[in-house]
Amino acid sequence: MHFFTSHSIRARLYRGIGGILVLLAASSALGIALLHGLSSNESTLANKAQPYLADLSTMAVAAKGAANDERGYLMTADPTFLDEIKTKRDAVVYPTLADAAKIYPASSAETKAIKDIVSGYTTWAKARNAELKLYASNHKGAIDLALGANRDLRKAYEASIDSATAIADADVKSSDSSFISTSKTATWVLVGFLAFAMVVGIGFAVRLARSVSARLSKLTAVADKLSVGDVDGLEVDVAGEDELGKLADSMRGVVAAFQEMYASVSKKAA
Amino acid sequence: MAAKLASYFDQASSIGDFQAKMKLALLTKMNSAQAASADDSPENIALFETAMKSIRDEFGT
Repeated sequence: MHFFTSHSIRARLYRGIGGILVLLAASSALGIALLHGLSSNESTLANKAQPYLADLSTMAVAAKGAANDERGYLMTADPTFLDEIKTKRDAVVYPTLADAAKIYPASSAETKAIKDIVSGYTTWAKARNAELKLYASNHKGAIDLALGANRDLRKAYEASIDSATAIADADVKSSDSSFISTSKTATWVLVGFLAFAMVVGIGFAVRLARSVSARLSKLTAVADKLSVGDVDGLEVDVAGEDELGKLADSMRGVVAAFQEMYASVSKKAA
Repeated sequence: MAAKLASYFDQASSIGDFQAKMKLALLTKMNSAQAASADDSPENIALFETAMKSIRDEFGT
């Protein structure tokens, strides 16, 4: 406890520098915490929203390709289109959707949106396969299905892709705005803390320098007079409970002794 | 006027002459002129008594 109440210059220096260090440590800790917030924001973008959107994009391209292949087969009856649907479209759509469903928690809106796409695409794919099978025996019936009920099923899963994309876009926007807001807060908080630490540090340094230098120059003036024997009427006008105060107290004794010596010598000489 | 405080310098002089007076001034932080104009307060008297004891011890009386 003595350290906190002591008036000594050393204790005041320790308290002042310690206080500034505590402020700087606090601002650093705050900075680290805010950086952690920013990094968490970035992590959400990098590990969730971006892969989710990438999966949606890959899936949508493959699904669009499947729809094109469906039309290609209906127009040309080329079985290559059927192979492409199986090996290049459906083979991409389902695993990509499975990956996308693992990105967010199962109960999240994002994962529910993926489940809607899976359900819609599966329904369309079954109807599409039946339609393509029908094409061999009933061209017109298959084309009617493609342009009618199956087209509606395709539009339905495409709408669910749009919904999922809108959710992910909102996530990105929210994350982006949160990043900007956290980054602004971090900047101002750190600038504020550092400015406060600087003001406190400068105030402390000025106060200590004034207190020390003013009294030190008074003591130096006394010592200068003592050194040339100019002790007549000399007074040590320095107070304080710190090291300089103690030095002044000791010098008071020395000055008094010198004055006594001079007075005695003068008396003897007279 | 502090006749009692001033008298301590005479006592010191009789104990150790010039050196004892200087020692008394050093310990009390007052020269004889200042002592003569200071109050004979209990604190000052206690200060001078303590200083005189130290001087007596040092000069062996």
